[in-house]
Amino acid sequence: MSQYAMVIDLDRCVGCHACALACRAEWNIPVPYRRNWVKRLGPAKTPYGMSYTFYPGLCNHCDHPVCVEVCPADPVKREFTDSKTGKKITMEIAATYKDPFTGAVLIDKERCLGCGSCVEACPYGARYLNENLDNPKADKCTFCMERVEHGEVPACVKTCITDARIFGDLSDKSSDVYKLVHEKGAKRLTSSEVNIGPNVYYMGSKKDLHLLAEKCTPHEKTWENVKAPTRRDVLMAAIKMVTEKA
Amino acid sequence: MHSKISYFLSRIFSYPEQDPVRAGLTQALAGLAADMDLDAAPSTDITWDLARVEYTRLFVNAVGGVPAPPYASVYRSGARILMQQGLDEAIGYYRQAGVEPDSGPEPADHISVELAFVARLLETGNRKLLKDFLRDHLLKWYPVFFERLLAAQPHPYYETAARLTRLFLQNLCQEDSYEQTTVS
Amino acid sequence: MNRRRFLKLSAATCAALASLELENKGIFRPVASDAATCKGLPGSLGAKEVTSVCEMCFWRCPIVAKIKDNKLVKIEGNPKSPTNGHRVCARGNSGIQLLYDPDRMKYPMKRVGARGEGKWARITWDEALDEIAHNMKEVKKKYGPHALAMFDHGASAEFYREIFRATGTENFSNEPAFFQCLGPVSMAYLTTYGYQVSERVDMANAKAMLFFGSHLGENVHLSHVREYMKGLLRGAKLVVVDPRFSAAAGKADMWLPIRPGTDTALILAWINYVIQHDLYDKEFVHKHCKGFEQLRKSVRDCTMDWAARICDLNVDDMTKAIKMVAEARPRVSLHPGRHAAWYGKGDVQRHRAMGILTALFGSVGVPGGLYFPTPIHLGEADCLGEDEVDDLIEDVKPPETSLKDGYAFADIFPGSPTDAIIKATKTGKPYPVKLWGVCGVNLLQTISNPYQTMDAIKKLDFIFTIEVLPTEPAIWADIILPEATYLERYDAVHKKGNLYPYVTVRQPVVDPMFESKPPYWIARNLAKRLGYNLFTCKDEREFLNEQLEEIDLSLDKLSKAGGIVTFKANPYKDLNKPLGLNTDSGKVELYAESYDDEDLDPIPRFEPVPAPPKGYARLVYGRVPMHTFSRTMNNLWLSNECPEGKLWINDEIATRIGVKDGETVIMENQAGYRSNPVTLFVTAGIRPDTVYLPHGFGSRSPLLTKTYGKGASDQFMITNYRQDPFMGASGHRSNFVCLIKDGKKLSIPELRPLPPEIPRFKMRKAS
Repeated sequence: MSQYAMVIDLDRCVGCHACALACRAEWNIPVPYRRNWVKRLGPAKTPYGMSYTFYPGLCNHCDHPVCVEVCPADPVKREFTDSKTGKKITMEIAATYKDPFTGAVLIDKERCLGCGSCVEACPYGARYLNENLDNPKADKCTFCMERVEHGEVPACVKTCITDARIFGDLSDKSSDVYKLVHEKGAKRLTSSEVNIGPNVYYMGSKKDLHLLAEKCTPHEKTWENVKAPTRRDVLMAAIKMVTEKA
Repeated sequence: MHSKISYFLSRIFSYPEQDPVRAGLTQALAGLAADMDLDAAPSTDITWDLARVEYTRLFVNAVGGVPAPPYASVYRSGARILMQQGLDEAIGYYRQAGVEPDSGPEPADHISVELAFVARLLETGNRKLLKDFLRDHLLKWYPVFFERLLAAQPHPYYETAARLTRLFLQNLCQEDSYEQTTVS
Repeated sequence: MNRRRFLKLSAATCAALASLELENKGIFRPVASDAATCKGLPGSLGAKEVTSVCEMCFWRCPIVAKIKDNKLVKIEGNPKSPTNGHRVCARGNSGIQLLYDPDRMKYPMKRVGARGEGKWARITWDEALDEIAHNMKEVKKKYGPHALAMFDHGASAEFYREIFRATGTENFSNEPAFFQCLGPVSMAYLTTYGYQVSERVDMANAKAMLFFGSHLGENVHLSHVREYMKGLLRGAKLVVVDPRFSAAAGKADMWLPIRPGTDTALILAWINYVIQHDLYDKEFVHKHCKGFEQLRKSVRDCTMDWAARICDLNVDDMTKAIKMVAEARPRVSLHPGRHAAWYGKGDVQRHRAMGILTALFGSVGVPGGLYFPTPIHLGEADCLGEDEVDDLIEDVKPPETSLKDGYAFADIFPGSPTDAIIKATKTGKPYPVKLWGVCGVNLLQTISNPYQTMDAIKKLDFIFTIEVLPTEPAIWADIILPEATYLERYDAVHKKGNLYPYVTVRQPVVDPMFESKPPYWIARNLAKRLGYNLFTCKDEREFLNEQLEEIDLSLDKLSKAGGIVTFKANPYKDLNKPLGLNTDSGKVELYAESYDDEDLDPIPRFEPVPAPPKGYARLVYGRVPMHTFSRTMNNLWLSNECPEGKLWINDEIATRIGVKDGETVIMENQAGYRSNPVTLFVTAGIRPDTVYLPHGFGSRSPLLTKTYGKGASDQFMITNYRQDPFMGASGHRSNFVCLIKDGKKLSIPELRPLPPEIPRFKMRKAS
């Protein structure tokens, strides 16, 4: 089974924000929402010298995605097919789920209730509720699986002006991401409190990684604060969806 | 006569190519407002020059930005720009009616084009499509456009037209559901 | 109101409506059979592709536009491009927001209120062009040709420029981008090397790079950033000299936080050091340079100790840095820099000093150093009418006193200095300037002392602007012409003769929206009205094909080749042969005799610029990577990414004066002008005597709905400036600010002692 992953090389990143805009353009994400962002860090002093670096962020497609756990939509059975081997797996999924073959965490928009639980749960702030829609839906980075299926790379990777974003299958030992993670020591943004196996990795100089970790590591288990919608909320949302469709 | 009203409103929301008083537009507007119990300030003082300046300020380019860009696309899905979902929706409905907009300088989700489309649907009696168009498209954005237009304190000529349009569209929608219920 | 009532119209209303001839006329037509929609594939996948050229900034990367249902859905880099490939930057990705911006100019407009009031009515193209032509003729008849002036920037201006040239005015190509930006660096490198070096520096092959204020990464010229990154990844050392810890400083081996205004002292000391310590390329200097002895003598008193005191740097760091760079010779990329108009006086000499140090390293015509352009010779398109223009202006007399007078080398560049035109407009001296045409340049956000510019505009008989968006000058314009965006038009052939030479063309990816028109059409129709027989080609395709024919290409051939054709580069020189440079001596001119003739220093000398007055910090500025100058602030996506520039202030100063990161303050400059509120960014990454503000924010155009009033404008703080004596560029870094918080004035304490060599700016007594 694959696990797609991304490595972002801060030595190469110049903080130009092209990734954030290519994502916005590719998926027509309305302002002020975003699937993909760049946060500017510093200049600030670190134990290793002055750093001026960036936090290019996106959904981490975590190994243990807490957003999936909190989704209150009624589970349905879905058959997944491995595009490489043709192997099939059937599993029960809520409206947001982790694809067993690609490792991408995705949202079934048709069934999303728009309750916002997953948005609150994500410790990285990678999800948003698009309230511009007639029926609000959660949305986030898909690792551009739609593009990957068609042999393309994610939009942010394609536009990156310094090739600082490396995308690939972490389960494939010959892939660049595997080498960068297992041989070059690319790091995840985790803490003792929040350690849910993110699949976006960062590499760079000591000072830049220090500043990134200091400013951007999540420490709050946000998912524990998520109040699951009541049965009534879920029912009302379901009724609303049905009537809107009719 | 409904289609006439809609064509008329479409005309008012397009750039004033004629003197609104001499062309009889102000008179018709006042008559419609009275007939529909709309408490409207008189707008017969509008000169052609004034209409052109006011239309430019409200809908084309203005200091402070165009207060009420007259395009569905700006409002639908929070796009805030031209040629987005609002336009796709509009063109989808036009095609369902077997027509497409003639290429002009304005995008086809301009309020004036959409009102002309309403007129056309009324003319051809395509009630089902009219209902969908109003409920799922035009009345999804017209109220926001309306609020922004009124906030810009337009000349009574445009204010009356905007109020009249709102009333007209709402009533068309209600009338339609009334008919639906009686039929079923 | 009930249903019956709604249906019932009075007879009078019915009659009124009936008399109006209301019908479906020319609004809808039956649907064509081929009206297929392009649904199905998600995102930009499966879109039709049209190659073109970006103009979100002026680096002009080759792009491919993705079109679905006749709408632009995405912009990517042209994969065939040897420079950017499939990549575009943040701004390139956001071009779609310019095309579909509801604020864009849609129809020709005529001012109907007072100038500056912003009251307009839509008019027809005929009315607009007639009015412009009439006023151009009137002003020319009444005051002579030189009363006409044009300010421009961008690809489209090339056509309008010919029209103004044809009037005979000496004020026809006054690219503020030249006089406020590249002027001094062009001048210095032309003198030293005989060609426009611009940014032809081979960073990808460098072993060391040296930047003075260049902040690549924040300044995103895509292929340039890629070459820089390639150099760094190959292990090149990087030394950044900048009062601010820039994005480049973040990647550097050494950061030298120099006192602003003292760079020339540092470079002269380094020149002396490399000569004294035999760290220069003797063979190159001997073979290819002129004036070494004079140079050696001239700099021999410029010691490291002297410079350290002037520049407020540490001798050990300075020494370590120059050794690091010198060891890499000749593979040294000493970046010539961009936007060189810092102080007016001394700017050319600073860049001369940079050019000289480059020569001492022998970093010329070799991998890793300065390289030479590869010229691509296009054919002349007769229809553009360059010859006709020459005939038209044959009899035009130059003005008795030219606006170029007083600038020794202004003659070698087209046009008069921006500042000279503005002052002449304001004062009527030495001659009246009464009409301005403005195209693609925001005069108020790019030129020193915008208050003076506004005063000048009030004196004009007529001003017209050609705009995509209603920027500040549009508010003042009598007529505004809506120009098609770069995504809706052709421009002249785009050739780039750098390390990867190529030829490509900009072409419309969608039809022009509203009544916006492409520049060729506008120029052609304006020329006709002025009675000039220019632009005889019926359309752009015709002249593009004429230009391409010379290199055995055509638009069709280009299209088949993926929109771009590449050539072999010839960037390096055989240093065993004479360089044959286009300088007076044919060699690299360390000593510039031509300067001597004009009483200008033939070898750069350090001339101090005044330091901040007590209680003030120097205001410097630069770029953010999501914006181009002041042009992109109204772009919804880019504005969302970076809505305003923050004012950088040193952390220790912030503690002393009691301000915190994220707080809002107002700047007041030495002349008492106050800024819009601006958010503070407190950091250790800037000197205590300097504050830094990204350029281009604080728009004063209420027409730009997404950016109006957001953040503060550096430009409106720049009221004190000097002209460079060589070609008339205006300096932009000689202004000082203190802060105002809650109505209270906060003095900036002086933490770094000022050496006696540097005078302090004298405040005028407040009147």
